[in-house]
Amino acid sequence: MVKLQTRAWIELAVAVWLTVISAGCFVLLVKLNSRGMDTLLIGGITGLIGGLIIAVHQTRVERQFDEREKQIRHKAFTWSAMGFVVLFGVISFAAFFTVGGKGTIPVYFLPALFFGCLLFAQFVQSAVILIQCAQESNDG
Amino acid sequence: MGDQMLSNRIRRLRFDAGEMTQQELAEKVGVTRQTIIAIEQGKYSPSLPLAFRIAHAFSCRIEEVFQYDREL
Repeated sequence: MVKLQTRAWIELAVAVWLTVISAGCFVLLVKLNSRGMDTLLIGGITGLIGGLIIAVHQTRVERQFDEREKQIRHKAFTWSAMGFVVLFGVISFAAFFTVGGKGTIPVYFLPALFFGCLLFAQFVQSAVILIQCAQESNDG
Repeated sequence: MGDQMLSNRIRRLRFDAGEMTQQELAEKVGVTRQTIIAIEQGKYSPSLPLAFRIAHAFSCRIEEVFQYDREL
């Protein structure tokens, strides 16, 4: 298995793991009915620190790849961004047409939708990389 | 403009350079073996710096390694 494939599997596993942890935290927050500025601040700081750690790590990881691998990863990222937007749009409009314009949905639906779309985007990104690698190995 | 317009003689040059393996060439120019395979097969067009590094690895000019087949 080439480095690119290994990385794709690792990133998918990490995304699943982070989604499970995030989902657990949100379930807890929903049960506690947490709200207010302090909850927003704790959530925001945690998200910011987590995002920064991931960004720094990804910059280091990116240096390990050569130009063709970077191109494949860039293509995969483009597909995953498209996947995120499409799924976000589909679910948003599906909810709108299902519940109706004047209907209501539980507010925990919003972060759940966001994390669900993020997980889907990572799935698309890893799938594109793995498919590309499989095609190349089939071609010899 | 498609990638197929850029042909190369890497396989031939490797053979002439004492049957250099794809792995050896990859290590010399700082890419993976998969990238060398993709370039040899014409599936990936290398950047200009990489094309120069490949040419230097064979101690020849870039146009001796890569040819741009102009579509008429």
